[in-house]
Amino acid sequence: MTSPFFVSAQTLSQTDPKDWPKDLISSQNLIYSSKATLAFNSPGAEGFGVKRAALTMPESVLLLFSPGCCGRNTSAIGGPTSQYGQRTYYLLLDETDIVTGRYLPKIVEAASEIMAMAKPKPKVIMLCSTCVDALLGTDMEQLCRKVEEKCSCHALAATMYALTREGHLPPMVAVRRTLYSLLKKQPKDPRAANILGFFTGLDKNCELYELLACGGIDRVYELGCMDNLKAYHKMSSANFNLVLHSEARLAADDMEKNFQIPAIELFRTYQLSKITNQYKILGQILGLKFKLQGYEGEGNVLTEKFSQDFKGINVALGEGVNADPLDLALTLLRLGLNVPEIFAAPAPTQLPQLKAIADLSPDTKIYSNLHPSMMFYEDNLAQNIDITIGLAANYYHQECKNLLFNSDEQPFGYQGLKKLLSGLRNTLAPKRNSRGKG
Amino acid sequence: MHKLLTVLTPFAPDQSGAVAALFQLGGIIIICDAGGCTGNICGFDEPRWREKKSAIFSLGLRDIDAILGRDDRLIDKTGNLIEIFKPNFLALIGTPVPTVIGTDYAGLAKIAEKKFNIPVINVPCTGTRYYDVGVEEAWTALLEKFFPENSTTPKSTPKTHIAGVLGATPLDLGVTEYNEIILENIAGYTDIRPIGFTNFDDFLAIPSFTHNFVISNSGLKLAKLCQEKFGTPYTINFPLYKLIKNFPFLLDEASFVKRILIIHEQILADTLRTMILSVNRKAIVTVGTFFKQAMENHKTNDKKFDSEQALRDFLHKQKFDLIIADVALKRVHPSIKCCWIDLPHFAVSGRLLSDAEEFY
Repeated sequence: MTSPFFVSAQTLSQTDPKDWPKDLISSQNLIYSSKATLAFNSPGAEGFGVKRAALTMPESVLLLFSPGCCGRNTSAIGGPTSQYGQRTYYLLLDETDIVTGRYLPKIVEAASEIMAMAKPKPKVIMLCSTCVDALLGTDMEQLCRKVEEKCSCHALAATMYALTREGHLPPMVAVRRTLYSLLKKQPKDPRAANILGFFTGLDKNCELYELLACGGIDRVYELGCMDNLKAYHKMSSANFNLVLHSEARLAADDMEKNFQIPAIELFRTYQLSKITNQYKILGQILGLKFKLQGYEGEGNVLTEKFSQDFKGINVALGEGVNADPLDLALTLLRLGLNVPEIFAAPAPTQLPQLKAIADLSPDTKIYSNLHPSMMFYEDNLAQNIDITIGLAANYYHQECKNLLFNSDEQPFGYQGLKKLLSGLRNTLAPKRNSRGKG
Repeated sequence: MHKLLTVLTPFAPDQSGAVAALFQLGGIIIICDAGGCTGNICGFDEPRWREKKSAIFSLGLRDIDAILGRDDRLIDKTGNLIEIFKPNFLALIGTPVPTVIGTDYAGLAKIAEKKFNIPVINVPCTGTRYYDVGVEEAWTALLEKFFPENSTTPKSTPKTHIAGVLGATPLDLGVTEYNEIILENIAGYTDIRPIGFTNFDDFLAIPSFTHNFVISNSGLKLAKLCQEKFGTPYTINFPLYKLIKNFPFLLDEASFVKRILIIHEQILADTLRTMILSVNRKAIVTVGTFFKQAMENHKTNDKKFDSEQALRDFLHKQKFDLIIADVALKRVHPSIKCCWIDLPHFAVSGRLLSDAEEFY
């Protein structure tokens, strides 16, 4: 029987990333788009892709101009009653349009028609282009200018260039940059900070808000929580940016350059000690002494109890989750759980995490969801999985209990850890080791 | 504005149709895209993807491949999969990217065929056309590949009292299982092979079919080719009306109204029209479609819509007592005052027939 490709944590951690098997590099192989991959490899029907991300801009509508195929799966999120469906428009291109470029003036015309009909009247129109325009070299800046002149509104380019996903400006980096590009310089507000990285807000119970407030920073702005453009513009008054997702780095760099707003990058981790260390460092940078004992103490109690109750259970996890899969694996391994399988191809920069995983669990199998041989993955390949976390692992072990852990409300910090552990506990309860739908 | 969708979402494109046609035939299907088109198909347009496995892969094109025209990447990436999968054929499915860069599909198919020593077909989809074109092109390419002009398959291939059902894909039928199609005997046949829902052996048995039933326009060209090549007669009809969840109610409702509009795939809609007229001779039934329209089933007042706006204008100008159509289309004229029976069309709304809403 043909088997899916995998590599053990030990083997991979002992190999120079330059020599990692090319099976782990998606661009080197045909790509298998199983249900495990849809939310991150081809978002649209699931997850946040460029279109849904672009609509994070308050008071905006989106015009996708493309062959019909590029907008097809938006039907899944674009029903008539959804907030996305009511704000998404499509200008369909045919072959003659593409060959002659005659569609470019039509975009301006379509934008004008949309502005006349859309209720409430939008203030921003996101012009979403696709691989076609990437290859034709469409001048999106000029196109936006023409739309702005004709429609008296803001026009921004949301480039859905799947072809460039491994290039210097991948689509999800570009769209984050675009989303902050309307901001204008204004006086600083020492009591304000931005959180960059996600398209939805942090869990409102996250201690980060409280910690910042104790330090006098009581205005925290997040794009995904902005109801209108007026609120959005406050973001350029922030004293600093907290970058919680690496794909927002470029946007933060722009804001530093244009508005002199410095950025501090935090990593979303579920390891208690790292959460504490990260907050301590943040406090030092801001010149604040965060009172962490209470949160840390509660975290200690929770993790110890969790470890006692669930030590030795087998967890499979992977992509499609509000976590870095390797960090999540390491968190659980350090709590005494077993992680026999990780469905996520690591990046070379994750070698230290990989080494830590290999120290605790050298035989952990690492699979690449996108590899063609994953078609041969059968549930019975890995016996005794007690629970899966995330969409990808759920796909491979559909009979197991599953914690999706991919809500729009973003977990972070101690609160994130608490949410993870309670989610696992609730999914596993009442019977620890039974297999069945969770 | 023509081609502007303000309330509808785009319909299933040609590459989805091509994949739907080939899904169960045991080939390796390579979609020549960056990943998004494959995601559209697997994540949305192919409901069987959730239940069945098929060797469908994205070529994973990157900008540098497209700019430099590195078609050889396909050969490199496919390499050892041929040995692993032992496919019946390799299918190259086009998308907008190769369309823009002018990929020579035929040349690429020839190289692959020589290199891998298996039959290779190409379906030059563009993403700008509808699914029915893709279904038709995929089946035509497969037939031409396995039964070429100069093939020795004689017209007098022994017939074995098998009925072929041509044009069956989930995109039109709104079902995912073979059993759902073979609800009952079709015109006295007990051995019925719905191409698109059966295996490759059934496709290879096409010359021995006694009769073909064309249930959607995407199967019409295949039927004509089978008649030409193997002398197989065909009938255009949709004998599977029992698949329609609302069918009893629909017929009942249609039996006492006068002006009726059916919007769906033309052959299904035309069959419904015939059945309605058999219980209500006074009815004036108009068939409308966004997709292929065959002259064989075309009546004077029938309508081909080429845009959302065309449907909107039509609904505003014409008065109907009853509309039978995918309820997603109602968004075009939400205040319309007439009875509307939901008849889901997967290629329009991504809903199966069993998803039909029971409100009217």
